[in-house]
Amino acid sequence: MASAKVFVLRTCDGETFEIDESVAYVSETIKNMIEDGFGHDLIPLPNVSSKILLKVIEYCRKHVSNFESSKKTSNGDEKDKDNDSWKKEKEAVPEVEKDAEEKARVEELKEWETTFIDIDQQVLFDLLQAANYLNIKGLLVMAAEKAASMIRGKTPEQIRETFNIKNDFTPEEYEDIRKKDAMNDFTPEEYEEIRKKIADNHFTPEEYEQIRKENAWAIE
Amino acid sequence: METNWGNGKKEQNGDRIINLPDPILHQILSSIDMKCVVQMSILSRRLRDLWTYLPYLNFDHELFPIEGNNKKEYFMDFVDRVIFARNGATIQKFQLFGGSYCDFDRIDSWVGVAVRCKVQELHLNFSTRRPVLMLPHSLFTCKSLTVLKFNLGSDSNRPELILPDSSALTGLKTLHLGSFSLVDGELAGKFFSSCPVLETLIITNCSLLTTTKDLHISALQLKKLVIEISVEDYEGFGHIQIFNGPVGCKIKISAPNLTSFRCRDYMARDYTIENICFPYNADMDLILKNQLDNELTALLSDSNELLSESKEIHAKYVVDWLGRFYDVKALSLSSLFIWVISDVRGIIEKGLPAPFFDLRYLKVKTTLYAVTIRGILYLLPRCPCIESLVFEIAGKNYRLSQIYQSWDEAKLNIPAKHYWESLFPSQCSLNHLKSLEIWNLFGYMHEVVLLKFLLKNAPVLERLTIHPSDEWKYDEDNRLVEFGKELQTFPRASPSVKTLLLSPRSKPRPCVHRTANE
Repeated sequence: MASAKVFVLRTCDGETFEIDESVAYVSETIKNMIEDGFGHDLIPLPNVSSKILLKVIEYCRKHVSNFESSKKTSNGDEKDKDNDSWKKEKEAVPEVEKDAEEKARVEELKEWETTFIDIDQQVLFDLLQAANYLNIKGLLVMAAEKAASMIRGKTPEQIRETFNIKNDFTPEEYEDIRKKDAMNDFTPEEYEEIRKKIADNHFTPEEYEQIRKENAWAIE
Repeated sequence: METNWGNGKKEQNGDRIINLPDPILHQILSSIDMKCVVQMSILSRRLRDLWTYLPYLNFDHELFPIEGNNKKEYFMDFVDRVIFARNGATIQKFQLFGGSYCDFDRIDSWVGVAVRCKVQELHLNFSTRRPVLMLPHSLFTCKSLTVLKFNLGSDSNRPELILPDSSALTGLKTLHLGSFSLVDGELAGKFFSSCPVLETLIITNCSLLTTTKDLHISALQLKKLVIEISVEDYEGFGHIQIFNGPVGCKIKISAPNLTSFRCRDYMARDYTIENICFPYNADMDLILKNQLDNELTALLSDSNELLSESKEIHAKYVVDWLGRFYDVKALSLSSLFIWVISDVRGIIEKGLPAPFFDLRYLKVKTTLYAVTIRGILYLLPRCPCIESLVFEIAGKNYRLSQIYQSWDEAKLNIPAKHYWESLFPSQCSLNHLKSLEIWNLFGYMHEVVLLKFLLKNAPVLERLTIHPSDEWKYDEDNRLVEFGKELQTFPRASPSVKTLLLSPRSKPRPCVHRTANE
């Protein structure tokens, strides 16, 4: 078996990292660069520091899509393909319960992810930027969910404190916003009108005709 | 301005979150409830109007801060206002948990707006009290829709869902429908089959009691299929259904690209699975029509008595189902089916399909009784190419645990040992078995006899993994260590078996790890 291809990445602070092809391909950006022919020399990543790239590579190694090594359970789900464990527990339609083997696999992955993403805010934001630039969807979703978990359940003031968000309104603007809230804007009459507008189908005549044709079965 | 985060560090550029580019900020807020996003508008200029164009809308009545009689009106009003203020901005995902706090008419209009905003993912969860539901017709012409998840009712009310027989859902890849009943299986089948790129179809808590027309699902791109039929009191419909006949509605699946099929349904239902191109994974949880039968089998240990239906009828079920597994490469079976196999094994020799040459992986989820062991032993020779065998021993039966002997009584209780050993044939060729895994081992004598049997008959076994049941947590005499030592002494046909005896915690952590040749 031929040895796997290796690529060299160079960070903004001049360090180089060697990674296998399968690991590199987890990043859509790097994958495209390689496919466009830029893989022979160093692949420069001017937006990523070495500290962050280390984290990224750790993620990519864990999430390599390798059909020989990934464990398939009887329901055919491949290992951690879509980072499902990071989706909010509450699903619109509850799926059938997992059995012991599947539960153990999800638990193990959750544990890994919890440890991986246990980083301070600055590193988290760097990681978010890197995941966005390198186009690694699973990492972006995971890091974003970590940030979301720091927002959820907090009052606006607590959120301001957590992220040190500067209040850049003028005092007048601020008062104005405080009074206005999605709950207090409209008079009952204005509100009735809004409801009607939402309920009516506001299609253009052409759109409406097309829909009539396609849906003759449904229109009384 | 420097701020202390509480971990000792002092940060200079504090509000990095505000300066994140749109795609990242939107992704962060993509799972945040809309009420919170609206409230965040007082934090900074960047967040002031974000809620009016954030392409992710999450509404959850449980997170809605108003309580009392007016909650419903306020909640629905809030959704209206947000939608209106957005002025038609694109929606990537619209998720609503309405519970009983939403009128379907309003949901209907919100869906209409979402469609006009080119929604890609629509997740709706509410429990209606209506007996019949027709989804807004604009939904079925939504070309941007890729994911539709719709939970309509609850266990106490599964509304009849009226689906169109065709649709223009040219982008729909994932469809989940939950808690509903189908009156016209044929129409539903046509609808499912009309989605050209559908890859995942999940139907849960679905009642097919009142449909007589067969459900045909023909989907070229379908990869994952889950059908979970709600378990209902069948007897209530006795006057419509023929008691000994097949369950009314037949299900036919034609999916050349199927990779995984998960099914929870009556053993009696007539399934046809055809046009399969590649071996797929099947997870089957088959139950008997009579709810009492389903419960009683859990209690009986060694009964040779079949319950409501005759042995012949059950034999037909087994032969039919075994015939359906021909294209399966990974099969998971639950205890009822194993139990029925065991019960009819004497009379089903005629008409049995050929052995499962494609089957590589078999998972059996069952308590181990003499009955189920017999059923498993009946199956094993029919799976000659099996490479991986997994037992998930189901929960403890407290009545029987009084009778069952523990593994370390083997020297004292010879009659019991002989009884269990007599269940097993002298040999069984598991010539391809590489991996054996046992979940939830209690340490009963019969479990050990089974384990010994498998070890003796698997000449190329590479891995043995045992997950002890939680009960071993209370093991004060270190019996688990004793068991581990005993385990190493079992004779095995394979020269090198890597044995992993894990510790009884939810997280798998090795407690004893040795190779056979130490």
